[in-house]
Amino acid sequence: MITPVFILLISAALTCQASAQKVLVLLDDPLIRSTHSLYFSDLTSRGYDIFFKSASDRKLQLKDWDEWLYEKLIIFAPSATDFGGDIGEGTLLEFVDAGNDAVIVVDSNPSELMRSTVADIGIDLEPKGTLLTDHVDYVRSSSDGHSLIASEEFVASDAILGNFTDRSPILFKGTAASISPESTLGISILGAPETAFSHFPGKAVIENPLVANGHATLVAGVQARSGARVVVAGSVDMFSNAYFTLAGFETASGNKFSKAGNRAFCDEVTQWAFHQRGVLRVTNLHHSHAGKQEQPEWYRVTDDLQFGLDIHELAGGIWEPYRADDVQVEFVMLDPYVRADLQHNDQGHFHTAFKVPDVYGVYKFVINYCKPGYTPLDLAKRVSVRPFRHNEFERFLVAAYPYYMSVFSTMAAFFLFGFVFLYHK
Amino acid sequence: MAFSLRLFSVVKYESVIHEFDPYFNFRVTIYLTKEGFYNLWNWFDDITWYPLGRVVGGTVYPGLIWTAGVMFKVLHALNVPINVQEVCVFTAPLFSAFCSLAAYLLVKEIRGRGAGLTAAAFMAMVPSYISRSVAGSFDNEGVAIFALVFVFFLYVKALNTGSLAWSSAAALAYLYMVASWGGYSFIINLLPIHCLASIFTGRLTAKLYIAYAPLIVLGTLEAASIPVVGFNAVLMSEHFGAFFAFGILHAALAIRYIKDILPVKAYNAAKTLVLTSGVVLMSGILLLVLFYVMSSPTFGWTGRSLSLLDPTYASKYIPIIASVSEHQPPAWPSYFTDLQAASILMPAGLIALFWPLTPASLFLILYACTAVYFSGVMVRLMLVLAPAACCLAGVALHEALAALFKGVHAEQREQESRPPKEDAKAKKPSSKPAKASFWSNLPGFSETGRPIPRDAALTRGGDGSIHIFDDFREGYAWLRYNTPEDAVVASWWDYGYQTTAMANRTVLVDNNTWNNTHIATVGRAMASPEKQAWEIYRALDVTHVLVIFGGFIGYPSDDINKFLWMVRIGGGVFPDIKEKDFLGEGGYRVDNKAGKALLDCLMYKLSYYRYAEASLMTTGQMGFDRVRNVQIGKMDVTLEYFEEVFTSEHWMVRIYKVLDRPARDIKLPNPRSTRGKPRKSSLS
Repeated sequence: MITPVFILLISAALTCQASAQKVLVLLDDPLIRSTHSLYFSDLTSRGYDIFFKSASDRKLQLKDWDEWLYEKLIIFAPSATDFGGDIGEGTLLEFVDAGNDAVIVVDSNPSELMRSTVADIGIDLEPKGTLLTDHVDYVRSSSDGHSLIASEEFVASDAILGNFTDRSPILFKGTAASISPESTLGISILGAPETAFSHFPGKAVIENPLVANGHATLVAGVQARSGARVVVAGSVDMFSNAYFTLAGFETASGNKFSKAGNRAFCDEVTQWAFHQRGVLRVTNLHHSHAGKQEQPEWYRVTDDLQFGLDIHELAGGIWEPYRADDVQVEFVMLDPYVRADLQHNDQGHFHTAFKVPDVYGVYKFVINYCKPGYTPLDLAKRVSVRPFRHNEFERFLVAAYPYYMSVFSTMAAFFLFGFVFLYHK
Repeated sequence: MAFSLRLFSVVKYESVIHEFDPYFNFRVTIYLTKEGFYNLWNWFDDITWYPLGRVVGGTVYPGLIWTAGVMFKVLHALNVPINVQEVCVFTAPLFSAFCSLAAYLLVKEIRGRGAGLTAAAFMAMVPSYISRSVAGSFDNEGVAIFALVFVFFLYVKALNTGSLAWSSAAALAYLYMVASWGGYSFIINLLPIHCLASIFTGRLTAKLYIAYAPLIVLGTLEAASIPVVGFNAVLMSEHFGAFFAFGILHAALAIRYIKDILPVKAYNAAKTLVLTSGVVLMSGILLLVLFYVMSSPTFGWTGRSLSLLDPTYASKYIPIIASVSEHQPPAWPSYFTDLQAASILMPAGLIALFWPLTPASLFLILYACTAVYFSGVMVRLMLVLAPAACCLAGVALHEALAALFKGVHAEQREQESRPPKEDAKAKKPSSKPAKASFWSNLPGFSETGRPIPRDAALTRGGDGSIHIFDDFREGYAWLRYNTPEDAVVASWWDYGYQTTAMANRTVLVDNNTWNNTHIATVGRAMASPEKQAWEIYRALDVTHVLVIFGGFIGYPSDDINKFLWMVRIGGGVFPDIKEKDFLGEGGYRVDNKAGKALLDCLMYKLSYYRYAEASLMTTGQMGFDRVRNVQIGKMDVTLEYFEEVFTSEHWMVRIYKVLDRPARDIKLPNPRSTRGKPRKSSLS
């Protein structure tokens, strides 16, 4: 039994390889097209067809009957209170639930529409009007006060950050978000420095801000169970040409940087969101008796079995063998009876061998592999484990020799007794 | 007649299998005919008790299945192309006919042919037995009652003839009984009681020894070779009585032997010696046995047996046994409805058996007395009482008729000795009414006896009444053709056998209630609020949930009425489920004074989902429940984690799909977020 997520992944992966994918960019301010032109040109150079539309365009159409007109969606419309055309809040969520990717960018004044949309994806934005502020380590600049921040709190995942290897600090000015500690889908791609906190600018801080101490999330990523990836960023400026090309800056603590990492970061994160990296594919899941090929319907208790599967990773549009030492398989009946590490052979084939536990029942091979930035693998395959047949037990037990002896001695004694009793009068 | 009487159900509802357990037996029989004897023995059934599975070969009483399987094979060998289902449907009526024959033989052995005939006639039409052996009731009891009576007949025959052959035959019949039904422990306890009673009333004969001793030894060996009994035959307390009586029997015979060969004085000396040493030895063994028995929490008894000895035991400790309606003590009137005339004639027969009191009639007396007690504890064991009652009634009726006809014949003889012919002509018919009235009684019995199977079919199998409600088969057919093959269906355990047999889908629990915890988990899920229930079901890989709802057409044994048992059984294992939370004002009710936990629980939601509008159409009142005759307490039932996929024509079967986890995590608790609300300033 392979979960539908997996099938969706394959389909998503296949669509990635199609030549030109259509990206719809929704803007609430037409100027963004020019102020953020570098970001969009980077995307175009990656081979995307970009369609700019105003968020309030009356002819806006995302879906034609059951067919999505665009594969990807980028929203730079923090203040949009309403989308034009056929797009409502539900349409966006439907878009995501159908497995399509989106990048949603807001700023410190997100509309209620944007806030609730983002909340339904699993990211909670700070209240309207708040700004992420850092009185200790802000970036010195003429106009931004203490709210321009340089963050280096990156997620430890090459799958997300890709070629953004120099890890230069990211300039950020906008609203912070937070992810529920119970969320299993959302991750913080870019966090805030420990000294940053979220508050209404210009107001006295009279109670502890909730989002502080590094809990604030600046850029969040969500991998929905439909396979869709959504990136939510709290700053529109972060993607702007101005930050992309900033020649150098200095923070309040005196650190000087020659450039900001925004351009590479934004590009790579968008690549991740658009399924260009960190996509895993499972094929050839099989199990069999040790040393055999065919896959049986059932095992007997204490049988030896081998289990294997192929995992490939999408890199630059082609599937390459996945290499990791942390993939595990569990053999579960209510509880995991066996949990084994899978070895791989550098060709993407992962395998292990173990003994079936001495408990019969319906078991599942379970692969539950969730690594930040990679598509989560959640597979289960059912197999029955049956007890010994009546003729599979040992025929003669050493422990039972006294009983065999007693049986035969009694028989012999009875025979002798009968003989003596009958003929020895 | 016994056979044909039981075919009315076929006439009425076509040849189908009724009720719950028969479906499992039917399924196993199909397996037997397809896969053969050894594969059945080793059958590990992986579509029931998911994910534990059930070793069917080792946990089923195979007698019935073998019987049907053999009949099937024989018929096919004779080129009778019959379906397995037909074989199964007609097995019980056939064996009830055999049972009547066995009753005839038994009573004939005890009281002669006339009593045998009347007993057989009663046996053929006693309602209690009819209800369990109508065509389509393919259950263990159907053949087991025959086996029971037959074992008794062979035992009595051995007792009367003192022939080892009959005794061995009794042992073989006992093997069949053990293979057929768990009720065999009744035999293995009744025989020792009879044996002891015979010894202590001075009826110890070599015939008793020949009848009893080989049966116990061979019977125990045979019982141990039936997988489901196995070592229980020597380990469980049910069987100790037999060994105990076996020992006493030998001791008594030894004493008599010694008495014969020794002079009186030496005998007395030897007697004291043997008695003291014997007492010491026996008490040592008894201590050991007691120690062994006390070391187990149920004193070595199985739960069901213990609930027989202590009728309050089950309701105190094992709600799962108490929850079965068959295991409730019967109501008084049921003795009359189930036994009819037999219940009236029984005491008379009992008294008649004391003159003369032979070992054989003593046996029948003991049988009747113990059976009366057991039937008083459990309705189900009324079935054990039925043959006893019939035999006694047969004896009584025979005695009565004999007395009557003796008078008639004597009169006739007197008259015949006298010349006038007109008188004789006038008198002769007078004997006819007596006979005629007896025979005309028979259809009377069968008339009243017949409603019982229909009742069973309607209220328990749900397969018919005047309007034939075919919702069960409709629902299972839907499951069979509309769900993936690896779907796992959760329902209360009553419907487990039917789901596996009719829908061929995996179930969590079924009527073989061997794992209380698993059943309690299902009960807990049904009694939990929707989200927790969903989590429990997800953890068990459940894809569909099936509930039986009777409120639409007034079918009383639906899941809402069974719900308190789910709570009790669930609460017995998981203490967070408390029965009092589900009780409203003045007890269990579903209207607006119902317990709060009840209104929130999954079972309530699944039963009454969309019901308010539907009942407006039929009863003219929003959410009026026809079983409870109240308006339900919560009209707008919404489901978040389950999706209705099927509701049968009369709403009896409702099937829901367990939804997948949502694609996105929404509304998770997030202490770090104010979720858009303006932050309260607690200090200002």
